[in-house]
Amino acid sequence: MVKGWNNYPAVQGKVFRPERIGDLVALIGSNEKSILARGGGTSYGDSSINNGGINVDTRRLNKMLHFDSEQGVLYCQCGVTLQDISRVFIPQGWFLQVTPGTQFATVGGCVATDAHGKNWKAGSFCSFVKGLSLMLQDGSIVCCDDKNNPDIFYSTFGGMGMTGIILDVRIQLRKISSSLIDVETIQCRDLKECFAVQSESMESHEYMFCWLDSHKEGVNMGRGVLQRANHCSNGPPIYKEKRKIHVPFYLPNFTVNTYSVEAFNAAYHASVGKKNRKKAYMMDFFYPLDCIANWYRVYGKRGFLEYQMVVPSDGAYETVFEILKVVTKSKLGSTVAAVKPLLNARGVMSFPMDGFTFAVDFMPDQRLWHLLDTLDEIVIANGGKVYLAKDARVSSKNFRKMYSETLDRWEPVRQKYNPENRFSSMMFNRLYKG
Amino acid sequence: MNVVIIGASSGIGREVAHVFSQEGHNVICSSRDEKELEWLVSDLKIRYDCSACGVPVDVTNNSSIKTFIEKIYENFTIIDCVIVTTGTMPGNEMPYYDEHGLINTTMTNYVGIALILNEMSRRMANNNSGIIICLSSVAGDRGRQSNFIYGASKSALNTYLQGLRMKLYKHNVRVITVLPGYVDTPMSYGTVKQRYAVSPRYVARKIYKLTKSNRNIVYIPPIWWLIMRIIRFIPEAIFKRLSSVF
Ligand SMILES: Cc1cc2nc3c(=O)[nH]c(=O)nc-3n(C[C@H](O)[C@H](O)[C@H](O)COP(=O)(O)OP(=O)(O)OC[C@H]3O[C@@H](n4cnc5c(N)ncnc54)[C@H](O)[C@@H]3O)c2cc1C
Ligand SMILES: NC(=O)c1ccc[n+]([C@@H]2O[C@H](COP(=O)([O-])OP(=O)(O)OC[C@H]3O[C@@H](n4cnc5c(N)ncnc54)[C@H](OP(=O)(O)O)[C@@H]3O)[C@@H](O)[C@H]2O)c1
Repeated sequence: MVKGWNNYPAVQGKVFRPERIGDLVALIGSNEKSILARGGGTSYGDSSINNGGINVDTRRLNKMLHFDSEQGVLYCQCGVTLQDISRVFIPQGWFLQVTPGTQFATVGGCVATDAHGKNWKAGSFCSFVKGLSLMLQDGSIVCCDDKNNPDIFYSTFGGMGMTGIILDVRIQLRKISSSLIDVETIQCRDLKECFAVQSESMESHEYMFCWLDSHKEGVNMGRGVLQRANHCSNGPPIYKEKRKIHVPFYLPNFTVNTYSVEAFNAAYHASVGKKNRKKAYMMDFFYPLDCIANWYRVYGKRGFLEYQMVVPSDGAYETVFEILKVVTKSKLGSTVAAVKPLLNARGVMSFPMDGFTFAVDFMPDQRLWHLLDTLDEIVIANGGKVYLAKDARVSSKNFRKMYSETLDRWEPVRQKYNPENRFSSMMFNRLYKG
Repeated sequence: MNVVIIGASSGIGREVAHVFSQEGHNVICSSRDEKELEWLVSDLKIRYDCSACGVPVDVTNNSSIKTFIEKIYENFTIIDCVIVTTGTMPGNEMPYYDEHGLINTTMTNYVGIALILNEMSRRMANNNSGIIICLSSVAGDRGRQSNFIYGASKSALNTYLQGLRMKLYKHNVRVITVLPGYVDTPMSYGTVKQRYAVSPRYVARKIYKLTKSNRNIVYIPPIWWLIMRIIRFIPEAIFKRLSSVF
């Protein structure tokens, strides 16, 4: 079974797991089938699934090849996970400049999705990629950076694996002097307050993130809990290996329902209090969900869906308000939603743009598909787009509207390097051929 | 300790290199793939801030073995521990009468290893100390129609290691035979259900613990001791009819 993190969709597929780069060259040479690289499989949806061909599990291509301890530049293979990086480099006083919310993601996956983090001001993961090498459809390897082959370099950022297999990456790390984060948690009454506190914190805080109640309607719609944080400057940088809690089996499908979600949201909102401030361990702050391995099992075997979009800053509040209204009314949202600012990224197909991103999880339900189409329309009307790494359902038509400008620049490069669609995925087939 | 790992470029050997470097030992990594060894050595150094190096060898080639032995004893006067994880298994699609399959399997899994261990054990015996850990397989415990070319090479290896163990006992050199069941490496990937296989890191940790024990023949995980007991217990007259099972 091949599936994304959210278990939807899950399909039968062929998986190949190379131990070395040479195995990959041999695979491409001896095979006609389409190929898709996948990393930690932490994206949601069908982007990391190739149902018609071979899925290449890159997690054993995980060697660190060079580290420049003066400049903090790490040269590593694509399958190195963010956890590997923390484990090795936090004790040496280095950390990722930008990290998504799970440490099980790989460097290759973060480049292919151009992942964003809670520090919107820094940009996205690829803002700190200095160079990479890519295996093309004939098994040859091309090295690229902003001077050599810049077309494929920038088209690979957020390119969802469609330009080739990312083999190794050079990334710039940042210095840290403590493994603690100074986190302030603030309760917000409604969406307006959430946005107000966000804009008030933009200068003062590096990290920012806001959870929203996806069920509360009426005057308190968009009530939420905002976290803003900065790195502490004292206290030694240390890495602690945490024991993970495992969800041993899939819970029944009804575990996550309207009542359990509402109870959870109310309890979470109340637990925070008006405002509190404490020092948290880095890993707990960046990867709060990772302490429960395979938490997706809570949703049952059918999995769940996430809808994540970004809209330009101008009018962002109104758009999020409109979307939240539709979501809360439907009562289909599960647990919490989230909103945070983003900054335009370098990659041709990158998701981040100057604006705000909003994400919400859903339990699969018959009524959902229609609801999500409605959301697409609102997003398109306001100049926004959905995040491909969280998508399993956008129609080809809507995708072309959302990504129209970027596609014009991306498509020629993709066709130049991947002319026979040798690299392909379920998502690609849906968005291109649907 | 100075630890030589032969077969370090992949699977169990690679994880053994990680565990021993993490524990602060000096590892010398070998296999045929020079480029991969070079990368492995950088990886180990970055992750564990340890000392490590790579020395290539092809165990099916006698002159390559000679150069290899010379090279390591040129750089290190004493090798405290050698761990052999080289191995090859002919694919199911290859008929048992394939000449090249037979020769390559036997050379890699038995003859080459014996050539290397003969040289290294001699030097360890002179020193009156040393540890030899060699990976074999439960497939060597009983010949089965599905992979007896591989199994036969492993039982030759087992017998060799038994003899070597006895020979070196009075020289304070320990010889440990490790018999893994299914391990999640390229050798078994796709042939057995992943959930029946243990991780190579698990096997590597067990191997590390063995350096501090007095055990001789070790099944990993231990349940394979019982399974192989039962399989060996079946009389040959019955066993030969069970080709659909084994
Ligand atoms: C709890 C949680 C929190 C998350 N938070 C965030 C967040 O804050 N921000 C964010 O952006 N995302 C987030 N994500 C989504 C996900 O973690 C990121 O998109 C991540 O970058 C995916 O990395 P991966 O290694 O798991 O890639 P996969 O999911 O395996 O693959 C994702 C895509 O990358 C491609 N790919 C992977 N490796 C390669 C390679 N070597 N060469 C070419 N293409 C490749 C695949 O083909 C696929 O299209 C989160 C996920 C979870 C589970
Ligand atoms: N995986 C299992 O399920 C399993 C089960 C039972 C026993 N075992 C045994 O455990 C050992 C390790 O297995 P593994 O799964 O780790 O296998 P693997 O991943 O295939 O690794 C085999 C190693 O042997 C090296 N090698 C092969 N031929 C060589 C040669 N001629 N000269 C030098 N090195 C050579 C390879 O390196 P190069 O290609 O770079 O030379 C590679 O590093 C083997 O002895 C195997 O029989 C494995």
